[in-house]
Amino acid sequence: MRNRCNARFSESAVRILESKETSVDSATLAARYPFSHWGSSFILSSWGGEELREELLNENVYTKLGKIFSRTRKTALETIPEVDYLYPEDEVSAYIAIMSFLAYSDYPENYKMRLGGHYFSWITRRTVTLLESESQGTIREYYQTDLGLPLVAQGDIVSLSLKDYLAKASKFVSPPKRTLASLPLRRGEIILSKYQAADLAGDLTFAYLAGLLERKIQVARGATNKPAWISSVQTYMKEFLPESTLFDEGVNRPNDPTKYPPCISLFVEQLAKRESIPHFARFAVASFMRQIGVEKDYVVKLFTTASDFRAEMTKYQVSHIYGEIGSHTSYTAPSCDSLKISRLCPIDGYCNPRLKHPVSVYLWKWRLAKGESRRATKAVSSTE
Amino acid sequence: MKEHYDSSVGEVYCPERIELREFGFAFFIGQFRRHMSFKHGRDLHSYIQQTLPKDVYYSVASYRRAAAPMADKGWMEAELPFDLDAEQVLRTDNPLVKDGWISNIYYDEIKRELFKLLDNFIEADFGLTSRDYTIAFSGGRGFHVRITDKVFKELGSQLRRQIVEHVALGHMPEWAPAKRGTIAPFTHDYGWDLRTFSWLKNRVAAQRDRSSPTHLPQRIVSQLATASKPTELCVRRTDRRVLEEYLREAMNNLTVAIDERVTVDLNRLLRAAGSVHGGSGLICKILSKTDLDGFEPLTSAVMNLRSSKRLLVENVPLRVEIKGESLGPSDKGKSIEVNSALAYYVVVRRGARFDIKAI
Repeated sequence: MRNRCNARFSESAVRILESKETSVDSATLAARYPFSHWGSSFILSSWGGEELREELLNENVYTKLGKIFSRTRKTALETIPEVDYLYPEDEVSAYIAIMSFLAYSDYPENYKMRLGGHYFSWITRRTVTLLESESQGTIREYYQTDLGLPLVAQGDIVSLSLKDYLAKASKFVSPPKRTLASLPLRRGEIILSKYQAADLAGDLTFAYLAGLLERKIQVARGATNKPAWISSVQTYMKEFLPESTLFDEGVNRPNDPTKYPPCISLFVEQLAKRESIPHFARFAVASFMRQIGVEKDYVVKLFTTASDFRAEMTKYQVSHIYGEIGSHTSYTAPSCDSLKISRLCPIDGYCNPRLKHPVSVYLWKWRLAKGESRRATKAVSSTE
Repeated sequence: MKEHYDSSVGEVYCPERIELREFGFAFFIGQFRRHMSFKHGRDLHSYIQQTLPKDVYYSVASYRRAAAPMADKGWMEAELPFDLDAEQVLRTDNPLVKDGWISNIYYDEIKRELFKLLDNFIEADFGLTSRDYTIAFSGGRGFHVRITDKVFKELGSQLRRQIVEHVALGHMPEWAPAKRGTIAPFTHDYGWDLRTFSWLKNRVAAQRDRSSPTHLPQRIVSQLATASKPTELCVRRTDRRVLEEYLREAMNNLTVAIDERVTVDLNRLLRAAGSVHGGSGLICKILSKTDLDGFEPLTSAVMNLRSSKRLLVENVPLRVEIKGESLGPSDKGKSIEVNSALAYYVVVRRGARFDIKAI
């Protein structure tokens, strides 16, 4: 859990914490958490359940969208977001505009999800900062109503049933980033302080929003007419989202064996020495090579020195990993943790504590060699 | 095998809603048949008696159409399995262990790891009780645990992987700045933080007894002695490196090296409890936690055979005793008649062969 001492609050966040309202009205909560039930209630009461209309996208909303997306593109992911919410109307409109824009825009679907991921990172970090200043009752209401997870108060701390958490997490498209091992577990309960509850709510909110966007994209796929205002938002967004940022694949470097991570170097070396290596290590080599863009024939050639090499079988298996046959799934290399669990990682700790994947390590080595900036390195690690 | 199944086929465990499980069978001629299902336990038992398979497996998963090809089965849910195999759990390259020659001392070590899995993780962390899981001796080199709780059965691969990481990899403390330029390794008082903290405290206590010296600076030792919970521990920034060495040692001691592939695989076939492990001749036996202490595979999991066989002993690297008869390194080259359970055990491991002259 992120420690309070770690948090660097922006000035406006500090102002909010200092003001520490004892009872906050639901319109304010709608402004702080526009994706929540408070946001939904606000729409119902102020727009009477009608859809977002173009006239609601006023200058404030456009400014908000611009701020979010320019942050997304620049440094939003590295700092605590400034806690600057506007009026409930603008916040709720901005949220709906962004979700609809992501669902209905002409961008490719994988890009919509990726862009959505940046937005969700931003908004969930803001949510964590804001929730930390809320009362325990408000946090419990958010968990209960929006996340469907009842919290039980035990004095200053709250507890959440692990089974409820797992049942919820298994329904998300991808589970929350916070791993089970990092949770404060006690006999089937997750024991949380207010700050830890806020922090976990951020992870859960991210997973919830990502699932919501995926469903919206599916609905939009079959829709015959998209809302009229989407095109005006898309025109506006071009200023903040240049086309060049859309298709950055991340992995596009020449094959350089000197930059392989130690595990892959070792496996390749063992193969060259005609040593027998485990099946999972062979899988790691082939899937790693696929991810860094190496030709399939080169990979098959790597295995020709294996003591049990059979050309047809190897070609079949490598083609499978490359997604050319079978289920047509292109396999990704196992993570550092998977290799460690299988006792195949040759080093103690990690090549770089920030990087937990062999491909990330490969790209990091490339960047080190080329003297590219630290930020660029971080950015790549976060895409893996 | 025939002799055993003639009298004891009823011991082969039939899972609940057996018709939803996929069964697989390995045969002595090398064939493997899977994608089979049975409507009733008696159908399974008579199939085993008729075909005498070397190994019997059934899926951890339940399917709408268990006998259909993989893509058409219709996955419903899957028990969460843990496989503790000697080679991984003991973290050894010992060729005897690889070949399945496992002494009771090794089995005791694996049992200790199994208790760690049950006590520290399945019960202490996940809050499950003995009603929510089954334990079985695998019949070979270790034990299987299957969690049968509904919520755990519905988990996907990604959350199962998180469970593997929780058990097999652990969690290094997250370190956070604390008061007056110090740093606190632990950010909460439960789960991995509590387990690691307790281990450190015990390690320091052992140092005081001089039974296990450490190189921890005295100031950390005193801090650990006075701290009553993990979050009370704050150390100088300069002490982080030395403490991290001990934290890594804690991870090595506290984790359990389960087989990751088994736990994350939603379609895994696991050996059926009550069936015979064809590679050892021992029975895959369901156990309760209380049975574990007194459980010795070579006594409690042997086939129900009355016959005997004459063997030519070639190389039995350690003394093996089954049903009161034993073979060991000193019997090399001898022709000895032993009970069929012992005979099967050493012959499948190529420690002896049937004495053809006697047959």
